[in-house]
Amino acid sequence: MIPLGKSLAVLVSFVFLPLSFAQGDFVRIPNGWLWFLIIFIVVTGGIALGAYLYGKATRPGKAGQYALTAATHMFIWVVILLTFYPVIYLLAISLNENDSITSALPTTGNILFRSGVLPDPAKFSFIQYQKVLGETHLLSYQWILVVIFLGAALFALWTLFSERMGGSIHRLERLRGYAGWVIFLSLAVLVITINPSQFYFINEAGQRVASSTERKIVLYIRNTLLVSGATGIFAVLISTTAGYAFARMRFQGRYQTLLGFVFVQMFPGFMALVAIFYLMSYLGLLNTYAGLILAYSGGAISFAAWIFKGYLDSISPSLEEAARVDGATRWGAFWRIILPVSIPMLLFIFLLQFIGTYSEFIMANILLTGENQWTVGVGLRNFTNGRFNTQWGALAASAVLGSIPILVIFYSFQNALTGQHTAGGVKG
Amino acid sequence: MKKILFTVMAFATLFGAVQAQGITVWTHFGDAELEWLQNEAAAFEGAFGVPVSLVKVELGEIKQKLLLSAPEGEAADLIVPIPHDQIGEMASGGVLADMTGFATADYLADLNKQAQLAFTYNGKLFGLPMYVEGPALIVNTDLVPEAPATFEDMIAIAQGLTNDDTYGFLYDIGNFYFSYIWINSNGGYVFGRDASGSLVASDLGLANEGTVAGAELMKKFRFDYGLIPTGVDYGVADGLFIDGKLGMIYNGPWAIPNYRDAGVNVKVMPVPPTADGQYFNGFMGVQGILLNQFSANSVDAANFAKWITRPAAQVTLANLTGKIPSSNKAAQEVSSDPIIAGFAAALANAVPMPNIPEMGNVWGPMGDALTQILDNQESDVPAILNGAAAQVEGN
Amino acid sequence: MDISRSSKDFLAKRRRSEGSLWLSLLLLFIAISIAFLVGAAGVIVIRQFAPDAPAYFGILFGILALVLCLRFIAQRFEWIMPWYYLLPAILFLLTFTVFPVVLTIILAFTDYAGIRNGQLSVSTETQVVAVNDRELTLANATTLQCDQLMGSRAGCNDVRAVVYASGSFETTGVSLDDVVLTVDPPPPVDRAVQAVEINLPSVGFAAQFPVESVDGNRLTLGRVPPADADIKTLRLTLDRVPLERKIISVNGNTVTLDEPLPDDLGFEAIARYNDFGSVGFDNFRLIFNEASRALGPVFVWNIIFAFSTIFINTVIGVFIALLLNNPNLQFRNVYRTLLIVPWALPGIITIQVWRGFLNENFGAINRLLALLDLPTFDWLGSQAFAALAPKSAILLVNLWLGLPFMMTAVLGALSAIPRELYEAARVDGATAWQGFWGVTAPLLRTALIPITLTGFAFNFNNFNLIYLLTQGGPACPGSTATARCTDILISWAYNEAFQSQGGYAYGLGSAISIIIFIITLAISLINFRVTGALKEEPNT
Repeated sequence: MIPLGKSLAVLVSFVFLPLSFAQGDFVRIPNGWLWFLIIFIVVTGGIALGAYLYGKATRPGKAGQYALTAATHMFIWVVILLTFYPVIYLLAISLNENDSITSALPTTGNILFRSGVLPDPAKFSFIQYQKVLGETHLLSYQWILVVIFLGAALFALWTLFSERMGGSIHRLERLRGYAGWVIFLSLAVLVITINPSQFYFINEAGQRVASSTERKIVLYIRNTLLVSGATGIFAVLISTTAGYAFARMRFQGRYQTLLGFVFVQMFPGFMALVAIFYLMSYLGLLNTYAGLILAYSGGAISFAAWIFKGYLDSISPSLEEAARVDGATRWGAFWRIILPVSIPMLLFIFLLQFIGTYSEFIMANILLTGENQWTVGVGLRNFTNGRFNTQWGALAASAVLGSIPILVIFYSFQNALTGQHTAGGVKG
Repeated sequence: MKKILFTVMAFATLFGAVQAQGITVWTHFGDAELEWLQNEAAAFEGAFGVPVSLVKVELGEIKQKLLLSAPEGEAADLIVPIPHDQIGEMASGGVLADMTGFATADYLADLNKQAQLAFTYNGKLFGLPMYVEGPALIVNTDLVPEAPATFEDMIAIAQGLTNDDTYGFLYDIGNFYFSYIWINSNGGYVFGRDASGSLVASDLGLANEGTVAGAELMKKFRFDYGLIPTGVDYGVADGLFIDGKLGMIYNGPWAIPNYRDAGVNVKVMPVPPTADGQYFNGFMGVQGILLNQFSANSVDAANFAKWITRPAAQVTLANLTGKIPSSNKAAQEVSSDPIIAGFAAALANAVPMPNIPEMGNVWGPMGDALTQILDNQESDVPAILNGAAAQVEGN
Repeated sequence: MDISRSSKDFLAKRRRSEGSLWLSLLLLFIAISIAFLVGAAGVIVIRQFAPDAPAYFGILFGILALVLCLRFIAQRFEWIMPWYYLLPAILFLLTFTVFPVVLTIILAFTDYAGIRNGQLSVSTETQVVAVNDRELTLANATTLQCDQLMGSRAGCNDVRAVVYASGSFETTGVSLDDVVLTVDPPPPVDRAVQAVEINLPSVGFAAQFPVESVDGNRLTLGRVPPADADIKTLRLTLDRVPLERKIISVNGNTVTLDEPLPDDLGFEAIARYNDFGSVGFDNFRLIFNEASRALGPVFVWNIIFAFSTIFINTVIGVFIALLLNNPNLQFRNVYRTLLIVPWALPGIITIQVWRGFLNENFGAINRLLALLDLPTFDWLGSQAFAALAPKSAILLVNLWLGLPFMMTAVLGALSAIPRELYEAARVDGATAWQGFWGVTAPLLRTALIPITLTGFAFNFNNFNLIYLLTQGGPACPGSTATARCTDILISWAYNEAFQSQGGYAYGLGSAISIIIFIITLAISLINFRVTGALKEEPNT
């Protein structure tokens, strides 16, 4: 058994790596994979067996199901671990004092640390965060906003928690709604007021020197929130009327226009980059958020209109009809009946656009020439130092900070996002 | 009150274009070098009253960004610095200002001739050189107390050191920039020169016998001498040297600060010649300052370019890194530094990278060719090199 | 809400007198044209007062004019209303999508590239020895670099050029009083002086000082030079009074221009433009001539990649969704929430993390494999078996990235299957296994078709994944530097147009984009045909 596994491994490694530097430099457990497999099977089997025996004792008919469920739990935990491994590793690197991934591994400690599968906990430090955040100078009222923001966020979490604990759902939901507004408003004010001149350090001669790009992640997050938020709002504003017209009105050329909307979107957007660059340059919008927002929105509209049309197709027009019978104009019906009903869909379009824009970097990299306007995506690509070195630690810390907004938004609106996505996906 | 004004201004400029005052500089510097540049910028503002804003741009992106955005008035006034091999494309693309006029006789008299040549394209000076850099043999004197006198010695020492714990000689072998030393020393070249010394794009030496011989030597490093296994790239070699596990590395002055910080005792020297007198000379790069042809403030930009290339500034920078100042006076001043002296000796006969636009098409295909050549012992070197050369010509 | 009534009912009743399509479009076109003209006029007017006003002010004027026009039209032709609902979107699409796309398509038929970008090529400046009407004699015509131009422009035929005077003037300073510098000899009267170079011994170099005004031999400087300024020798920067001409031919050192030059300005140099122009179908011809090295392999891998990544993601996604769909499984909502984390993180960050993860020597993946005593791989660089390892790495990372969506979508589809169907199946005596194949599988298949087709279309152009993870590498034997082993069509186009190894060949990149556009269209048409997404009364 063991020689077979070993010879298989040797054979595979022989085919792929005639002479590998790496082989000698890794920590190995002889036949580790076999051990892992055995342990996994034993543990999973043991738990399943335990569940089976428990089921047999309590509800004999369900014993098989119990065992299966227990094994499923085990399997899903493995999947979760694998899914989270990169996330955990990123977090660990950002909390490590090493700025380079090439540094030597520790020679003592748990085998997971010695092998470098997990970063060395002995080097735990907040220095990377200090580095990327240390030159951010918030004004006093911005600090107050941050405190309000965090307070409201904690409060919202508390309402969620006490809802689970059996509090009054109705009241808690209302409170959470208020908290949501406080979070949104304080964040909006923060985003609008933070500006590039707040990122500096004082040099030895006592002069104020603007920070270098690796120290401005907060500014980039702010820029990205601004650009993504405005793009989302823009896409919603412009596409809803179009979606409404496609869904509810019949006029000559409707189908052709719809096709045009869908097909023009299939041109690989950023390959038109040079043309967009010259357009923005002509409009005087290069290196401005407005230019980037317009460029992004142009790419978002037809998709958003398409989704909104699909949504309207699925809801009955009877309410509008009633309103029209009561003498409302078409616009009135749209404004007072359709829009309020569609808020979840509009939120979905907004979020989709927001998230899509957050990760974009090609267009931003070309259109934003000044580093103070950069978005997270562009900023994260500039953690190289000179010609060959990447500052991994600082990069990881910035990446963690840059991920937080989108992570929070995603999980806050998880149902709105995944629910509509599924509906949209199934509908095509 | 000031804060309110501040906020109002921030609001106003939120969606509109921000009009920058003074001059803008794109730089790929980081850490100590960036700090040096920030200090020089602050000093310049003190002396000339012109604020300088520094924007970090990745080295690989400068060329494209400048070509696209300079004509639209959106690029920096100055690029500080850029290796000279990139200037051909930018100068041909019309985005670099001819700086011949800014070079006074005094300035030229003090300028390293090789550096001046490196930034001369089509008979015009397209940048003010800052420093000369290039790879040399960097020896960890704790592992290799007796520096090798000949190439054969070097191989022997390296083989002696290559064991479970340490390595003898490693470098980023798949990188054409470094590996050019073996190609050049065997008679290979990138572009030939005509009678007047100008580079000729049609005379390509990347598939000639010399290049093949050089590539075969590189294969020997891996397969015959057993020195440089697969998987070694810049990060591996650099990391091992920092950890004190590598005897000799072929690397440039930019790495010296890290080695110093890690407490490695180093000696910098040329790759030693073979016993029968074959010398090894690789690429030399000159980094210099470029002026944007479309700069709205070329007067101040030129002043700042001269400010950071003045000998005093070059000396401070040289002491930080080990790069050889392009000013003869400054080079003289730091020549007693053993590391700078080591690099100076190694680069004395090095070949400046070609600076014609066609050079932009060389790095990609040649890098790919080297990885293929080094992939296994049976690789067909002439065929691979011919393919790469055809691509360089075809592009 | 009353769902029993279909929307058609409602729409049929609401149908009103309609104008023809063309009349609507004509009216809209007139309104937009007026708005455009007003906008342009607005910019011109504003620039009279504020010369630096950016062009986007014109948009504001244009919108105002548009609103007024539209009101006017709507009062006369009420049936145009539907178009008003579409107008914002159409305008936006026209400006920021259609216009750039059309421009890009036009550029696909040119040789536009980094060094043929339509700018004046300063480096080609060549000394003029003699001027004779339309003929110039040059010191050395090779400096014009006519060999860099392609096609009909080769040899500088029909290329724009600039002829100008020398830009510098040597003189000596007589006195310096604050900002007033007196020089001898004075600069030429007909030339504007832009700057003066004064040697500053205290600083160590000759610095430039802007010149504000010239009065004979007295120059007023924009800045006060320091006290120790050495004004013995000065160099003035003059305006070069450039004149634009076209080069008709270059013969030896003789250049013939299209129009004669005035002979009083003292022309001393000529420089040509980096002109580019139409090359017809040359870009496409190049692409198809080199198809065996670039288009072919890239296209094949692109298809394989899109197919296999969707296949893998679907199989594993369905499997995990089925596990999580088990109503007896506790915490299944928690699990679902945990498992969508890759979806909730920005791809630009996670893909770069994976890049570090897959590093051959320091990556956690290889360390983990080694720890388990399994062979390690050069995940991002191995060329063995047509770059099998990098290709597997791409599929692996895309599985990590795409699994949450697939899982969620399948869970949604599963939750839509009515429980009664299972009950009915069980009443009929079916086992769980039969229930799955009889009930779940067929229903799931219908739901999966649109999901997988959308996924295929998305992954076909999944640029971020390829570009951020492998950058197309490693090289394949015989491949070009822009189309390497793991490049897909869109990353290949990007490499040609925006990367150094492609020489910023934007025209060529645009040509590839058109090919991608056509393929994407074809895929989408199949998608729509299968799902029937666009199947609705096409005659309305």
